[in-house]
Amino acid sequence: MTSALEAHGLTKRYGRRGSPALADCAFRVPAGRVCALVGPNGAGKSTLLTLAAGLTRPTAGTVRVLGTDPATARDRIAHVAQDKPLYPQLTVADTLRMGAELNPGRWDAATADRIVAPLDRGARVRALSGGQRTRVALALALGKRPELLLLDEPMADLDPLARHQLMGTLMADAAERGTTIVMSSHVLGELEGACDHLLLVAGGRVRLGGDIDDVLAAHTLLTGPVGDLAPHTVVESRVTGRQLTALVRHDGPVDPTAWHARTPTLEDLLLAHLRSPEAPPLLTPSTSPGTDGTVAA
Amino acid sequence: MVEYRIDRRSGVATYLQIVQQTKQALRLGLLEPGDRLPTAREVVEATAINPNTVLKAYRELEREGLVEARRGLGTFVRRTLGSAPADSPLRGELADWAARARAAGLERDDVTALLASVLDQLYEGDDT
Amino acid sequence: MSTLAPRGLTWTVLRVHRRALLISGAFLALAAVALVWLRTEGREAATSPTSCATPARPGVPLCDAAFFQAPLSDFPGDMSLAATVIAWLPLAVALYAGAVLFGGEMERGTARLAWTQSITPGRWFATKLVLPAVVITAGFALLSLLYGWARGSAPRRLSDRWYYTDVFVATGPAVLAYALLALAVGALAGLLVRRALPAGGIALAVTGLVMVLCERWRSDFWTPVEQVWKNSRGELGNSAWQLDMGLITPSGRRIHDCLQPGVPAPPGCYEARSARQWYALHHPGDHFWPIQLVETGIVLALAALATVLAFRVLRRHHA
Repeated sequence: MTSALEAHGLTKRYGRRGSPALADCAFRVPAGRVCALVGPNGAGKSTLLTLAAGLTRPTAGTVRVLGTDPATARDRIAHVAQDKPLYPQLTVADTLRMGAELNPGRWDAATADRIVAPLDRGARVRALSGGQRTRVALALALGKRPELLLLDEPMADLDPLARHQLMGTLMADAAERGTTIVMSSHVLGELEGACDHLLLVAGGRVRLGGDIDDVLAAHTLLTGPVGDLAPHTVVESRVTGRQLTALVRHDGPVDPTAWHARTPTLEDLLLAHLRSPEAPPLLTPSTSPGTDGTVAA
Repeated sequence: MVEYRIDRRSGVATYLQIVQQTKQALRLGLLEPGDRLPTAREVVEATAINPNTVLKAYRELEREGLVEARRGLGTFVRRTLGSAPADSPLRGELADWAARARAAGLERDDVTALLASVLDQLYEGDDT
Repeated sequence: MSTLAPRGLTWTVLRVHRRALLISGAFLALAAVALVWLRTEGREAATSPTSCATPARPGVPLCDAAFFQAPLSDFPGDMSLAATVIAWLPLAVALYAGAVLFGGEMERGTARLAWTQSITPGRWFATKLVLPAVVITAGFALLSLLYGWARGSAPRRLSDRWYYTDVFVATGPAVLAYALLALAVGALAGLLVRRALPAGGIALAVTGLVMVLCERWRSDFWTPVEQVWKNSRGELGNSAWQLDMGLITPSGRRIHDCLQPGVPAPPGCYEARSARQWYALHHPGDHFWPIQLVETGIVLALAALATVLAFRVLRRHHA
């Protein structure tokens, strides 16, 4: 399986002092996945996406995109920044024309037109609402027919109906053309169901990465009497009276007589990891980057 | 053509919801052999779920021999399930019974519970 | 669609800055009309009599009330104003380049919008420099040529001297160099501070500083000529830019302060009493071009330096 996105020792520091926005991140996202990039505000999600889009240079380490460096892959990547930058003085129609002019040979006018269909094409961008601007920004991104689509908080400004519709459009694009999508959010609910891959970033580090089903299957939520959790790796444990609740990465089967065990939900998993910064990171095999820095075939 | 309705809060895995709803449509005769299932693109565009989830569900249905994928054409129903199409006599009898239950003052939940207990007893030991 | 119609990035840059193009086009048209009108005003001023006689002679009118009450021509004042506007117009370029062309694009993130299309930052930056540079070169060349043309319509005595800083800058290629410097400095400031208003302010300040410094050192851009008179003090011609004037002592020292009225004479003036030679350090009128070319060269070199630095900033921070 080829990588759409792969990082080795990726570090980004803004300015000379202060803690880095990203510190020594290593992970990969296989091609054709829809990856949720989740984490609290300021976790380094936007930095990761701008590095992958070739908009900034890493302080250290490498990021490889679609088997090459981001600058070389520029015409095959689309990136929508969190604040959805657009030229306010341009009309919707002019903005799409710009997409066609700046992406010669790639532009798919029909796709772009479909996304902005609810909008007045003669309206100036400055007159649009936040959600309408998101629509135009996504039309620019998808009109480019990217192989890798990097979306930073894409759904934040959208009402539930538009969110459902645009997520549907994204998924249709992924289904039809096999586009790899990496989208960030600090609201898990926006991404659950749409994504099959997970990258949890917190404090500039990748905490969890992998196929969502694999990551969920690697963890167990235990409740039972207070006792020794070995040999399982404890992510988080809490004691209420005599009862222990713990999220563990099980090592071997869990003793069903001592514990009530169930598979955690994605939300259980993310919250437990965010509450326990000292828990060791977990990257499932599909997400661990090749050791020699080349793209795993 | 079926239309899938995904309930994110049900706790049932999304792919299983598609499998179950397809089987339901087969049982009710809404889908018949030769019918084409919606493409993954059509499903995800309407439901905003991950395309791989749809493909996983279709693979599951294929594994059970209910559908078959024809390259470049789509996924087609191979055989139907059960023998209770929407207009079968059994459905009529069940409708009569439900009407009587309601006349006897049973709430909807009472009827569901009653039906479930009978089904549990009857199909005990069977798979699924 | 015509094959000459702009495509791609060129179309985008022109479309995004359409309003600025229209405004500067309108300004250029207005300025051109004003300068053409100034030329006719200059010709009128040139033909109106400047002296009178009693009794009147052929071509010289009678010194009567009508002569003295005739309104003075506005031409000299209008030409001064035109020179000032043209010479300081590069500051407007600096403000626009820093605040809108580059700083604003960085602040709003629209630069990144272009870079996430199939456009490299380098190409984006080059296009955003070259297109305005073409417009600036054409516009300022037109203004400067028209200004010189209008100025040539009337005798020199009716307009400011060539070495007045506004006139000097406006009549030669120097104004073009300043405008290009303003663009380059605006680009560098925009990339460095990534904020519209600070970038515009910095570009304005730097361009203004270079203009003021060049004004300060302009007379040193070319070696001045020394005129020496013996026995009696002479006068330089009207076209000369006089830098220094004074006495030459018998020992060969040049003393210029003795001539200042109301200032205590410095040491040496006693010795100078016996001096019989006077000197005047000046730039004759034909030094206009050498000084213009040196100043233009310096300013263009600074513009090139700013451009190179801006490219390096771009490469260092962005892939």
